[in-house]
Amino acid sequence: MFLRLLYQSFLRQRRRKLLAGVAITLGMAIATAMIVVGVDVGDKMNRELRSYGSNIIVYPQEDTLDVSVGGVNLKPASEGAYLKEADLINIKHTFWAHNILGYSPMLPVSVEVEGNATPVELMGTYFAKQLKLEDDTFITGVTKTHPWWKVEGSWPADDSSSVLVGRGLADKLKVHSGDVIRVANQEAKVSGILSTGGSEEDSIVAPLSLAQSLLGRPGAVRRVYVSALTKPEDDFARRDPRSMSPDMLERWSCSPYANSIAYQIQEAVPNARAEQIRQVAQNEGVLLSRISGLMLLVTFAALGAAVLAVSAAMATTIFERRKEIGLMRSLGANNAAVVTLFLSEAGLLAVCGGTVGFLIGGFIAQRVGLAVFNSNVQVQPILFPVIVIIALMVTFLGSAASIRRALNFDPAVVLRGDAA
Amino acid sequence: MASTSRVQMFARLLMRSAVMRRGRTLTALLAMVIAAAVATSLSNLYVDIDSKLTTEFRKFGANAVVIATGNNSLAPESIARIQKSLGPQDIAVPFGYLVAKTASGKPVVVAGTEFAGAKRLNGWWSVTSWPNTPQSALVGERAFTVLNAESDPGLLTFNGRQIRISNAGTTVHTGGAEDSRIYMALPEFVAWSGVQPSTVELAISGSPESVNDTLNRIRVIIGNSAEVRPVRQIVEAETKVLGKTRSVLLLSTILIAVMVALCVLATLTSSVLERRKDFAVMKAIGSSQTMLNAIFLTESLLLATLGAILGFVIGSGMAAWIGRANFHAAVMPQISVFPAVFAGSLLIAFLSAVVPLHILQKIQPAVILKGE
Repeated sequence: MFLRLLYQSFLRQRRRKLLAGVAITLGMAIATAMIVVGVDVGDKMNRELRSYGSNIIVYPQEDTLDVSVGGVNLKPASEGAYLKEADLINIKHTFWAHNILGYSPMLPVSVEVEGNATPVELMGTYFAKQLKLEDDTFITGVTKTHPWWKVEGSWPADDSSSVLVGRGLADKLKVHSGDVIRVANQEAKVSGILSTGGSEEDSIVAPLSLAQSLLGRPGAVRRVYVSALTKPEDDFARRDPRSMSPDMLERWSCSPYANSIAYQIQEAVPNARAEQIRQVAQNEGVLLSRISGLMLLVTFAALGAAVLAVSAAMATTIFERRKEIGLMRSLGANNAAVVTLFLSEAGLLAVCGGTVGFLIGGFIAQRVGLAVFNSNVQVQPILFPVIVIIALMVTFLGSAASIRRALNFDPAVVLRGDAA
Repeated sequence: MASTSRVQMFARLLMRSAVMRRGRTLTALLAMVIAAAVATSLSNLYVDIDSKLTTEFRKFGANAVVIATGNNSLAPESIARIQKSLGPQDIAVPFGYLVAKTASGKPVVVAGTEFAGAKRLNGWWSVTSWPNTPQSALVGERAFTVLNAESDPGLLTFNGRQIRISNAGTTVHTGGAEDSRIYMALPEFVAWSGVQPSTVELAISGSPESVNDTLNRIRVIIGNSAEVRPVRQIVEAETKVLGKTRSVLLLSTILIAVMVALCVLATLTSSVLERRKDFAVMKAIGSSQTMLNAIFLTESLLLATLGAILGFVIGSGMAAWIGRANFHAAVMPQISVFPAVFAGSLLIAFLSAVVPLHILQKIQPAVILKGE
């Protein structure tokens, strides 16, 4: 009898059920889409923020002071310590290997350039160097860590002796991409003109191996810029790892703070000191928490709106069925039976609406991800039961108040049509 | 006379319908308010997001630098003119650099600057305490270690001229070039070395266009003696992140607004549909179809108007709260959003009345009244 009532209710009141179902579906679609986007936006924005470039710097422990003014390096070439290029691959062997998006070694050398009165800084680095890891290759270099560098012409190959000439220097020397210049009595092909908006525009940027041979120090690196995905810093992140208990140190090391990634790099690369570049690391943390905070609040607002809208839809449907409730009760149904029937109907609607809403919402989230970030968003399967449970709760809550009100009326009054 | 009584009757019908069916009216109103509030708060946020995030971006420090060309320095009066030409939110801090020798002859970069400006410009500098007494310097962490290893830690020599600085533990740590430098107050720096500032770091807030305008004004001020360079690292990342944030917020706003609107539309449609008995009774006692349409439409539109106003107020409050909670600055209500919200509400109300009325029109009142 109960099943039959339920079945007939859906069959006979198709339009009414359809409208309530549409409301639930749409509400749950918003909820799904916003939760998926809101959860994922932090991760996506973190990647966008990497366009600020490297956020960790690695330099030799016993290095002397940098002596550079306005991008001109005045430090004597003989001075200071070096890191070993061969050790750098260890950066990709730390626990946070997947968070390391790229690194660029740097080796400045002061060179004579034909046609220029004063010595010019030649910076040796990786452009898009392929490094072999255990199971795959890793492409790294300034194209990853300095994304705002623009080249007119083409990037040099990392194993070539071609170079990039900074815009300012190129104007002075009147060279164009494709020309050949004489650097330290060697011929070097200019593969492109580099513009950065910074001091590199007055220097030459060359493959690392070329700089090493010019300096006569094979395998030497002065410093390394690392670009890593990090977690915004909190109070815990700022603590000194040396003063922590083993438990705390483990927890600290297992959070991808800029500090803890730097700490692990320092452990992995011999004689190195690694630290966060505060201008980038500190500020992007704040920015990231602002943006994800905003999306979180928007998600909550959307969720709240979806919940209220679905409740209103349920309240409307039940409200209009006082007469049915009155009729059932006058035919002898007790309150429990009426409540069970109506809640079952609501539950059935919620499950169907929740499922369809989840699918629509997931699809929408995918489209948003592709449209804005050009990458897929992950719809976690665990979200499905969550959405169905939310749908059930919302429809029950929306129905409960109306059912209770309907039960409070005298059936006779309701049936006569006097009740307001 | 006849028309007056008709208007009275019309008003009375509307009034009674609202009062006698409080539950139903309130539910419908709630639905309208939700739609309007969500649309309002999200549009408010969207309109304001640029200025909120630009403020955050300025914490990254300078987004442009004025650099003296060649070996020139910047005249004090042109620095003053640059500073005067900027808005209250903008910051311009002069920097002069030289390479001095420590007591044992090691080279170290010494910079002269205005500490108050540098503090505002570079919020990420981790400074133990900003120097405020004469001759006290802000020493980079790595420079501090080097100086302390000297026989006479406070002595610096430039071009044969000596100066003694006190570095009473005021260090700066940034992870950048600043760690290797010593910062002094600009007047002391100039008096000691005779070197004038050669760069001015600028943090200019506002949209890319207004930043560009400001930079062009500065170009006119400084003429040929210096050039203005935007800091591309900062500017490009800002444009990118701002663009993405704006698009994700815009898409969410549109999505949420459209879905909530549809959801509310479904609710309202069913609520009008449920009143077919009213419809039938009125029609049976002689009301014309036009009259009926007018009654139902007016009711919906009145509801929409009230809903839009309430929703606008609530939504603005919500946006202000989100702004306060997230950006520590309220999002101001944008009146310009209201017409769109109002029009949207009216449209929803109109559709939610027209569709069921169209369906009901085809049915004979007798059939409805009989209950089939």
